[in-house]
Amino acid sequence: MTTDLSTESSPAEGSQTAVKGSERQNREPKLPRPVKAKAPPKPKPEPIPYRPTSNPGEDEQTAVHEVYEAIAPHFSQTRHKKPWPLISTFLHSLPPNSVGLDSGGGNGKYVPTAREAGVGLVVMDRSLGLLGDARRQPGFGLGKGKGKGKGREVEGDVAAYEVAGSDGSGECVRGDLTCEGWRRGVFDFAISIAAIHHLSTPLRRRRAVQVLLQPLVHAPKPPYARFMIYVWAYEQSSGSKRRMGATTGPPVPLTAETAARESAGTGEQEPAKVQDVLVPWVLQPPKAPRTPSTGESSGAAQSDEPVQVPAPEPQVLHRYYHLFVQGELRDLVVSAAKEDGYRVLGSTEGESGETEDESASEPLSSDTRWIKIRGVGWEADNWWIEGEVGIRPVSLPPV
Amino acid sequence: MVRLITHNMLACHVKNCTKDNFPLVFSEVELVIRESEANYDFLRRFMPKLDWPALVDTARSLGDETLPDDQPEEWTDEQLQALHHVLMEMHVEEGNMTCRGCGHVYPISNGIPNMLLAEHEVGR
Ligand SMILES: [Zn+2]
Repeated sequence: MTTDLSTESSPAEGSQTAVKGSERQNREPKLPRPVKAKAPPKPKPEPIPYRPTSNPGEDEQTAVHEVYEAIAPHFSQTRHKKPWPLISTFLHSLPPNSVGLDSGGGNGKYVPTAREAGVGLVVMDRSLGLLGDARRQPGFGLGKGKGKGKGREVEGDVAAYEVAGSDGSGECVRGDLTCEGWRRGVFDFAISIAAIHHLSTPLRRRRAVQVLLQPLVHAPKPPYARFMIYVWAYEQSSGSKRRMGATTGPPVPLTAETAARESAGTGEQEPAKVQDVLVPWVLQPPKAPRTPSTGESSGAAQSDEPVQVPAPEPQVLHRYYHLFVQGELRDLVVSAAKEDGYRVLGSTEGESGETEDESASEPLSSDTRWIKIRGVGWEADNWWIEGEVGIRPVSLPPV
Repeated sequence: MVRLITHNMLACHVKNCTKDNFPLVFSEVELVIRESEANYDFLRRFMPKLDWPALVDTARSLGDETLPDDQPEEWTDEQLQALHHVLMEMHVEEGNMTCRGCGHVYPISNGIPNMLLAEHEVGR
């Protein structure tokens, strides 16, 4: 369910046309091309404020899961985009040979990063379409030498999906963000990147955090299991990548941005924050007519009008997002953990001077699971949080 | 793909199913062996998290008898190689995983196990 914001941002239509034009003129120098007046750009679809209903499960089915299945092929073109740097840093900071869970990991975007970092990543997602991509990746936990897809048939067919350079054993499991189908104590780390914001109630978001922490190793001593969560922020920068990537992908949540700007600039009464929105995804028709080698396609690129089969209108699908405001992600994680009986240990870098250091020095009456927030921040229109969990046996003195 | 390392981590999560919800039992399995180079460091780090009896039973149910009943304390290279084979080279592409506790069937299709439950089957 990972939402990739910088979708394949094709160059502006104008520059595309210019390049194609010169190529074409090299081949057929005679005729000046009639310049077609450009149609005024269609207004980009804007996010729509969303009111959760009494059936969040059904809402998410239509406003999240079905949309991801529909856009999966398009979405997966983003797979080779650069990983977000903080997540890469996080993965590289883990002890080698750690095994972790990527909950809502979609097409396995972080599997290659994890492999580089020498750690294993199991991808869990609800969308089979996205998982289909994730499973083509090589498996983890193998030696560096061979191990490239030497499939040997035992029963039935050797899988037909094996892809060059990959042994097709990327570990994938179909499950949603509240899937509890893991034994406890099996993962050294867990990430959930741009996924939890698709859950439409506070209760479900808390559940997702609890379920993310549940299968982690809770160790009495280092190395402790660690987690990282990313969600879309309500607070959007005006020149964000998200906005620039909006040519084919979801535009910046204008509703939220407008609201924020108004409240900041004009001194008017702050409008109610619209944190629950349906963000449009413009599903472009297939790009076959772009191939420069056929004359027809050049024509198509120049005229804005498909020449061959009339391309279908781009379809606009809406995905539900809950946009997190400052402090909300931390509160979510802390409250979810407390609800599950965790002690919250003092954090080193809280946001905006906020310190939470309760009970760290109190003696414990029994083995107690604890959580420590290692960092919270805003990056490129997202909020992230990183933390660790462990257990303090009653036999140990308090920290 | 469902390698046995993943299977060793999965458990039934149907509401109120807490007894015998692990390990899930394979049936109608299509198994593929993919040879790969072992990474002993990886195996050693994963060992403490293994459920050994579950792994041994599951491997035997799939026809691999190489693992000893008890988890070795000192591993020979031969044993490590056997563990590598069972954990990392046995891929279940198709089949079912059935919970011994409640009977729920988790199907595996194209190497992807479906752990999704309907909302009413999930609970806390
Ligand atoms: Zn069960």
